[in-house]
Amino acid sequence: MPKECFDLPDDVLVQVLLLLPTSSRRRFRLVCKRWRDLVDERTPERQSRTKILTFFAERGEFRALVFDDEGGGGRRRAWTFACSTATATIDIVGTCNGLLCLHETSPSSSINAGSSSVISVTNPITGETRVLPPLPTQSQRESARFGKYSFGYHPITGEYKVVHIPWRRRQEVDVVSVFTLGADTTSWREVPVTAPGASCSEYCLSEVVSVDGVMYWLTAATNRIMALDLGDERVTWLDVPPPVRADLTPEKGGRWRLTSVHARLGIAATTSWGGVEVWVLDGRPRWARGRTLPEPPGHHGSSSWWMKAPRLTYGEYAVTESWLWGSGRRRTQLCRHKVGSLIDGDDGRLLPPLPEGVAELVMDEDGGTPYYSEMKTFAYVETLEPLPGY
Amino acid sequence: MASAGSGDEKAAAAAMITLISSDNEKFEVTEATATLSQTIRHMIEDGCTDGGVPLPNVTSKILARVIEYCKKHATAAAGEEGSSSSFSDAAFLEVDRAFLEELEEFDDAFLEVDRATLFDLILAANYLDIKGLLNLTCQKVADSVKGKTPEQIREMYNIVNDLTPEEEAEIRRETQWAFE
Repeated sequence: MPKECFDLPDDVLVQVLLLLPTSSRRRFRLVCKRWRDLVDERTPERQSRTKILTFFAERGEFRALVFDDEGGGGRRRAWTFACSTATATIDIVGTCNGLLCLHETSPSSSINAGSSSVISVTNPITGETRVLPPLPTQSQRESARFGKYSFGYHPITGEYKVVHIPWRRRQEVDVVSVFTLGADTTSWREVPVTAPGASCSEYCLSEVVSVDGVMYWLTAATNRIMALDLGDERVTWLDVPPPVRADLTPEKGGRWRLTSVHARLGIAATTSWGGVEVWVLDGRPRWARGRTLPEPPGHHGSSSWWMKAPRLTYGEYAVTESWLWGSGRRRTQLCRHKVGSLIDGDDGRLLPPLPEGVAELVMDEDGGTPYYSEMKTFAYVETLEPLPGY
Repeated sequence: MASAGSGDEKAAAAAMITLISSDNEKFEVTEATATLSQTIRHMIEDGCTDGGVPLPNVTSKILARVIEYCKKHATAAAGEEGSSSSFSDAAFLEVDRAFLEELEEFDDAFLEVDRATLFDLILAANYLDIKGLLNLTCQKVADSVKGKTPEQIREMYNIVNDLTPEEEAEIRRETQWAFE
């Protein structure tokens, strides 16, 4: 029997594509050239612009703010998230497409019990929220307090997964916990880790970064980067580039960060003079030296610095955070700077100094994150897409 | 006004149109049924339906199904118009709801066809410009691919992947939606 062919005219195929959820339509650009071109030219996605989202904790209020990229620091969206108890705090695990993954932590009355965690995934546009079940008690008591949650998306299967990577002081970790959104999942699954040294680093360089359906984290002991494929859920590892390895000591922990650069895995380090050195894993895979970001404008007095993680670049832009002081209060500004591609001139070459006054103000808000935590920026796209499994 | 309107409808319903399939089979349908197709509606307006409307792109097998759909939905359309004047009447609303449910069941059953027939129906709905039928059938195709991987879709519909590995890598980078 001859196989059936998809011989519908363009107009009809476009109509079919328009009936699909946005994320399916994005994935189906991989079917063939014709599908890719029709999605690009005849459906709205490519026109919808990605925006910068920041998560803001100020005097017990937890807010996600989205800004117009037209410049001027105008706020486009502001969502406030309520804690279930007065002592609880909320942090953002990450964003995927238009979904936010949040982590609420409540200190427990008993020290031995550690703290309790609630993970939820929400589409703030539709208000749809899904609260995930807690990790199984055993592993939560041991490590949830120290481990890291991460939120990732696989571009082929279209599945969203929340992953918990435990941290243990001396032991190696033999499993990570994975929760798949949607489908028929109601519980966490344990995924075995056979590669040594899987525990995530306790230093802040332990950012978990998701790139192209793979979740990467830096291990505690071995200076290795672990890689969890969100498709087949196999864990492999790769070495950090040798020049970086020599520098990866706890004292310098804050300097190096895993990050994503132009949708590739990257490592970014702040130099003593305020620039950022960049390494990028290219497709082969091999580490290549990217271009070095210059000192950010207004860096004098170190009140201004590049935002390195979990994402260094936003298209052709990189973002700086600045603190300004006035009448006893702090103001936080985010600016974006056009830096072009950091991975074309793969030689560590320094980008020319950025001219003063051409930075575009993205955010200008009173307050900011507490001194002990860093502000993070994420990519965000407004979508009406329902949460998976609804 | 109301009686004049229903008189016109009666006159329209009485007018019959002959549709001729690609294999030369003739189908007699009411004008109300036929004009669910914008294509045929325009032909009627232009007065070029005498001696039948030849549809060289539609086989008798598919045309019979399309007419089945149009008949059902033409009745539905007439029912809606009829009930709008008695909007406050609860009994009418009840009848409407029952009818809508019946229509949904009809649509579901109507879509129980193999994929080749589904595609033929889509092509016919597209050619005849029948919005409701085109939506219904396209939704069925959309539902059939929604949860699939690109590879499964290629497999299902015998699509050749003509993307180079470089293009694929590029698309994968862009698939994360954001800024790439």
